[in-house]
Amino acid sequence: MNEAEKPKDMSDTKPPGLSRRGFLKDASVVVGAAAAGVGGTALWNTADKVTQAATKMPTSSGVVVVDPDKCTGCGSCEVVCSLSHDGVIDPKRSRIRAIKDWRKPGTGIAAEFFPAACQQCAVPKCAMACPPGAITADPKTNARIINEELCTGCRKCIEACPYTPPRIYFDELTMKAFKCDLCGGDPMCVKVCNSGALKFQKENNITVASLVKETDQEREA
Amino acid sequence: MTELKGYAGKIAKVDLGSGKLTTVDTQKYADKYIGGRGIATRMYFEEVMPEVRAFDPENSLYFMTGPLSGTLGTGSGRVSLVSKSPQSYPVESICDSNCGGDFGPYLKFAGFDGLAVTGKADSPSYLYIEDGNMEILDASDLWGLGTYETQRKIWRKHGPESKVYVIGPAGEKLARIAIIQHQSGNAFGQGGFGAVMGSKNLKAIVVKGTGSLEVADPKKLIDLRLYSNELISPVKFGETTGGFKKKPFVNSAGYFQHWLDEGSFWTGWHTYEKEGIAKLGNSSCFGCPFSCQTTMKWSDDVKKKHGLEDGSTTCFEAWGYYQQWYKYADIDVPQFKWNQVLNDYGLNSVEVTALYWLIEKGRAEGILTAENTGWPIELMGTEKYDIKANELSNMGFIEKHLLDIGNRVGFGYQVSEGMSRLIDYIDSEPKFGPNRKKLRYWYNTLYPKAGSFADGYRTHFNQIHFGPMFYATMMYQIVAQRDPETKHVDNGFFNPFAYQANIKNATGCQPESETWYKMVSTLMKRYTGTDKAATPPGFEDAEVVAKWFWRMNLETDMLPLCDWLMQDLRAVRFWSVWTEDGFGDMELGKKFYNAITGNNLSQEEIWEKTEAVFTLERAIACREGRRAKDDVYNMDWYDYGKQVGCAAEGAPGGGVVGLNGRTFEPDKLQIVVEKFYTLLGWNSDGIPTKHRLEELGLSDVAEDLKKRAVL
Repeated sequence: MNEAEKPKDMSDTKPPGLSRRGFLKDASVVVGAAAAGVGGTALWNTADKVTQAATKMPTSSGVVVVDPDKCTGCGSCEVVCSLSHDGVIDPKRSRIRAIKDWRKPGTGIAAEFFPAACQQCAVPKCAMACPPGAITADPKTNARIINEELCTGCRKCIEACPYTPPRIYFDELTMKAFKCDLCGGDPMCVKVCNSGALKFQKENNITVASLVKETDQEREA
Repeated sequence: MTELKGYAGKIAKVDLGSGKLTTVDTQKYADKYIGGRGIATRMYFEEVMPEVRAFDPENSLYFMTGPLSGTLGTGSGRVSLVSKSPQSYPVESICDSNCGGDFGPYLKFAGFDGLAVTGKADSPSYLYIEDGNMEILDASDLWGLGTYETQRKIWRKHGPESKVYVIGPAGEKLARIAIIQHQSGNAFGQGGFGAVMGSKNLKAIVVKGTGSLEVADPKKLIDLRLYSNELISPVKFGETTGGFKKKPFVNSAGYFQHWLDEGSFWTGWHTYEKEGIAKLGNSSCFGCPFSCQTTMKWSDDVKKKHGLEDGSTTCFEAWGYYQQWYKYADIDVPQFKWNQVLNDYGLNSVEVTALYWLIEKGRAEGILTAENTGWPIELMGTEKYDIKANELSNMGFIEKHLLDIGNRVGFGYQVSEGMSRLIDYIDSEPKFGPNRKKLRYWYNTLYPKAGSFADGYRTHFNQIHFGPMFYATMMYQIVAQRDPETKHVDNGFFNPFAYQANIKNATGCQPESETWYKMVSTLMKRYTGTDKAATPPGFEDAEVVAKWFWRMNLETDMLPLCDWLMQDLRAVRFWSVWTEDGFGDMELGKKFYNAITGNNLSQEEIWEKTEAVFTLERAIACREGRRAKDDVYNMDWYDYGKQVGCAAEGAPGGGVVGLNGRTFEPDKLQIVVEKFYTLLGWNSDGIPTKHRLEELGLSDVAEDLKKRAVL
């Protein structure tokens, strides 16, 4: 897995700014979130159950694997992701990010392109870290999805993501986390990518153990 | 008219003199002028008066996106720029330029469809735009720096997500061939607009945007994009046509997807990978499935030894120097050094490449010497010159002459004025010896220049072709406001032949094949309703085809889309195995436009709008002094064809005969020009008539021309 081999230190990349988005499809969700917040205290106490459930989560039916060498940095994946999920073009609403880093020392002004896609970890740390257990497997694809009604916006899932940068993002407008849901098994980003940088791999053989190891190595380096 | 979707909503207006920052509602222009070159040209008409000179504070730069910018439209990363050009020769006049990259989409995400910059700042400044806010900031620490270092400094200060337009020392010092650089592989090349920025004390424009764009029909837009991806997928040569069995050139999209293949035209680049000199990659503009740029990532060793930096490059920049001096020899490392210095100083590579031809000829005739140029020109381009040893050490020819041009020192000062003005200078200076007047003729033999207003623009590459529509393409060359390069004449079915011919032979001449003829005539008939222009003698109906080219070109620049990519998507699929008849989709631009804006226009209605814009461009040129007498064709060009065996004497009226038996006759060309004027609704002096202007909804333009005694 290229993804696993080359996690990148993009920690100084600026987080997405405050949303100016006029389009708000799920305005009702804000209300729902407030309601869910009431029962929050009870949900905190179920942490062990959440961890247990996450450990037993069935493997996703596929994963978007990336080849950074083939990425041309066009950002079509970001456009199509926000367009198909939110009905607007808004790269900061994308669940996949075509990161362009111009500042890597000694690279002149050629950008390093890196498509950052969720790897649907077999044992998802995001789900384990989620106090209300809002991250579960999608019934159809087993993609790790966030139940917006349960999400309290605590961002623990983002902190727990073994990748750098994290593959879960935060919507400043709804105050909820959001992430890749594999588009029901036929990811739009893969369909639109013409460079071969994104592929949909039917078998998800990426393990958390290998990821953690790689990330640690990267940190040491 | 309901509000059209796909636009950010506002056009930012910046007066650098007063510091005043205002906005205009884009919808004011959106319906009639669509976007890009359309809106930019209209604003130019309203604000830049004919008496304004290019470097006056009253001149304005109109950077304009369109409804397709920042969407999934194929190649929608492009931005049009219209301003009064210092490069136009002999009269500074309206010109447009176009740049790819990421700036346009992010300008829209920041809330602006375009940017109109006027006035002159008191001191070096740069414009900073972030999510609806604009600021004019101090650029004193950036002034004098190259375009690469300036961008790096901006990225360090404002973050790597900043999109930057920047000028180099050449622009600051008002070189008429100064470009506006964006990243390493994109620029507003022609037009000399880097110098217009320099004249305004404007070092850079920085944009950061995190907003969103609404489109009318998201699902349709996604479907159209997936369909376009199919259209440009590479296909195997010859599978449907029965001819051209050779690999690898398919259409220009296929051409570039083969770019990195072993055995392609650019084999030298593969040697780099093998020898560990560089790592190759692809990069593209925002939202583009095509990726015409190649990224070179040099080894540490090469960087250290030769001072090379990583960067992206496209076709011309990757071989301009070698094309001219080393006659299409395989590209080598010094080429990239040349490209890097040009980009860093902010110079126009197309224009500078013409210099080598002048040096080669001028040297042979004793016109140009080491003494009067100050450059070691004796051995350049000869076998005795060890290019690697000389150029990759410090201050070889490349560095010496480009630094002089960029810094406007000595002979470099004259070169920085552009080739046409350089030739005037040499012509008038006795120190260049008795043969000096020959230089103008030689220059003319190499470049098929447009009419005299557009004389300052050398062409992208020199095509001595007698293709099945050369009268039609000439028409564009004669009346356009700038050079007849890819951007203008190649739209449509011209391009594949240009490529094929160009690759086969440096001069681009070759016998015509039956397959070639058949494909062009079929396509021409299908799209323009006539194929007479494809059949010898070829001047009949040429004006109809010329008009078709022009509509296509304007449509591409207004939506905007990439004119390079679109010519494939529209037409060249007759190479393709994807469809039954192999044709592309001429209405793809329209389909994108309707899905994004929610408008429901027919192709004809879009063409009406494009015609209004090119008529407006012509009206502005007329307002600035252009007339029929300026729409001349450069016949000397065919002399080069004769020298290299592509053309011969013997056609009626002093014309020439091509390898394929087609003829070019000057008096026939004159007839086509007159018919072209009539078809477009221009009078015999090449001025759009009051009637035609009114028909196109441009009655205020007609009034303006009348007021100025043009009409």
